[in-house]
Amino acid sequence: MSRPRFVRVALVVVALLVGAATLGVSDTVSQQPAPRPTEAELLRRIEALGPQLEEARIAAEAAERHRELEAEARPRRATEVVHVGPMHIVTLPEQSELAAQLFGDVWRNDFDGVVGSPALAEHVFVFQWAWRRVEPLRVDAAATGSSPVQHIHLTRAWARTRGVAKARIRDAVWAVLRSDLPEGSHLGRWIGSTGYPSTQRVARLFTTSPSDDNRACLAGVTDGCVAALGLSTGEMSVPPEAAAIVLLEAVRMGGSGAWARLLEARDAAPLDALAHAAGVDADAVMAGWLAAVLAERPEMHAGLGGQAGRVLLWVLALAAFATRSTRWRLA
Amino acid sequence: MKRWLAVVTGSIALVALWALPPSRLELPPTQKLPARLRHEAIEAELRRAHAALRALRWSDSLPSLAIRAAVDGVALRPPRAEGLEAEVQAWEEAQRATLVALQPRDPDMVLGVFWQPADEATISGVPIGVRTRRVTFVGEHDGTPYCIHAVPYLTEPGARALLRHIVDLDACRLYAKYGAPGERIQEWLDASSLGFARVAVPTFAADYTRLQPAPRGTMRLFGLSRPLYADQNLAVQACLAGRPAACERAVTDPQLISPPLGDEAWVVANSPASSFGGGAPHPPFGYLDDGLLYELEARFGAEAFARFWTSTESVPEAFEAAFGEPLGEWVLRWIEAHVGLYRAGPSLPWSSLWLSALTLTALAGVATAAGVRRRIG
Repeated sequence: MSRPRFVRVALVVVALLVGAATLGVSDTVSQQPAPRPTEAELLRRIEALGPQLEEARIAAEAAERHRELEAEARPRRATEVVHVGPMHIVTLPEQSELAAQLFGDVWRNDFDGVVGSPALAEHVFVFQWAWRRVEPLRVDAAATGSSPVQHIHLTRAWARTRGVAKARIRDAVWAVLRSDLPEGSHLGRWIGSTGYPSTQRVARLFTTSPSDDNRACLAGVTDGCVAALGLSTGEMSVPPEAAAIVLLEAVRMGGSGAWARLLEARDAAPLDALAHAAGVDADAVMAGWLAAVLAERPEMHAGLGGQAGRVLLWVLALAAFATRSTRWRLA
Repeated sequence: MKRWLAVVTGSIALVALWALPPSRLELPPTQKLPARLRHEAIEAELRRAHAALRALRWSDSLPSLAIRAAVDGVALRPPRAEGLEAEVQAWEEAQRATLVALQPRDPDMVLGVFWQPADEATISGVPIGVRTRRVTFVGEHDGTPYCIHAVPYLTEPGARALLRHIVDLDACRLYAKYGAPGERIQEWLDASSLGFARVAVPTFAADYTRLQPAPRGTMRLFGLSRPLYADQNLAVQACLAGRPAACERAVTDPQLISPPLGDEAWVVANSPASSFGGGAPHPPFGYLDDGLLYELEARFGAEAFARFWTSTESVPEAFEAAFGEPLGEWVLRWIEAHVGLYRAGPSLPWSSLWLSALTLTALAGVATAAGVRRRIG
């Protein structure tokens, strides 16, 4: 081997050895856990991050405000205002009739007795039921004024039927009504933040629960119902939505002016407030609630009928296709 | 043209008329702006640093306090609030009763349960990460081993409600019984943030797992389904497919057993806190493995478990030496007993194949019967 070639080979070998040694060292180093930061280091880090956080917050808010202004600057579509009961509904002109029907149905069927709700009179509902996903309907401040706005923006993909649309409207109306009963009030605390109650669900859970209070209530003992609803002990043995059902039932029983009476008594004990709103005694309110819940008890059996029917339908459909085939028919 | 072809073509034309040309949908951007993401990232870093600082300050004071105040190896400090006397007394009695019932018991180990105001030893105005989750500290102070739960509380009503529930020692129960673990076992426990000893009642962990809703997108057919943890690491999936080596890796690889949430993992790695109670399900097997060590203890007995716990060997070797079978194989049988195994790979499960064949045979039978009975003319 000539001398220059020998030197080159020697250099390559040395470089490989050094490289391997370095890799080994770095491998060993990387396996060492990083030392835990000391209290002083953590304090320094926190102090350094404070101003950065404030600066980042201001920058984020400015960027979001800019985006909102851009959105505001885009042209808006024409809208119409529809009135149903005490509700103001802003919607597209082509959907005004639909909105009147849907809100009208919800109002008549679920909130008929609720007259005189300040929150409902104050709020504006913005309603849109689009075929496809579109930009949510934006309305001019002139249409809503300074009123709080409740958006009901539906697409056919998620709200396919009028039933689903009405359920969403019901939820929105209930959310507004609930704001008449702030959580600071006794009644508001008792109602909690549950959505619009499903009486069927409450009936199912209420009648199948092993609670003694529920059993007593079902046997017609008023004290049992009072305890089940958490009106004496503070702990409910029924789903929380049951409270909302009692409230709506009491308002129905009270007829005209019941909601206003309920608001008058919202800081009283819930049972007294309900009786005051209904204009009857607590026993009658409980009896009315129990009757309303039991009337909605679903007629459910083991869910085999529907399944079996669907399976049979599919089998028949496939068998029908099989017999109508011309190419592979057997006889 | 065949009638059905005309119907299909007409339908396609109708859909095309309705949907074409494709309109450009301009929705207001809903994703977070980069400036907001930066703000959130800084806030998260601040939160983590602050949580580590609080853990560091608590760990500076609590062990010495526990060792000084311990009676029969136990130090209890209830929440400092008025009007809780009855609840506190019940809580203390429950704690001591739990400890008395522990057999065996390491006489050197000091246990502590300290209720701490959540903002104690913190800096006001700075967000605190993992602030109301129970913190466990494990270590040694002046030669005395300790296991301490610090229970942060925000308000008096909150403490009152929690007093009824915080009676279990969780991971500290094992420390109380078997003392300080071997060094390599402790490293393994640290890597998982005591994740295999979070629930002292293994059946609770198993039942809780069963009650979890199926992961989104899970196909359920005749009760058969993809397994839980389908979106987990490949080693976990391989374990669920019946490979013992993968099972061993799934429960020992530090990368696979570290806490799932960034804040928690960071604080555990950078402060004396050993674990945080509650929170999201931990890898590798979610809630199911939260009581794994207690299952081992119940299955093999205290003596064998003590051999494993105090072993100086690595986890797989200690396991085999103590329990007489390889770790991977035991974990495989354990996971099979709880959630079952599934076939790995892209092929269809046998159940789907034979159910399809059965359906086709039945339909062919119906079609044949109808065809045979058919009369022409």
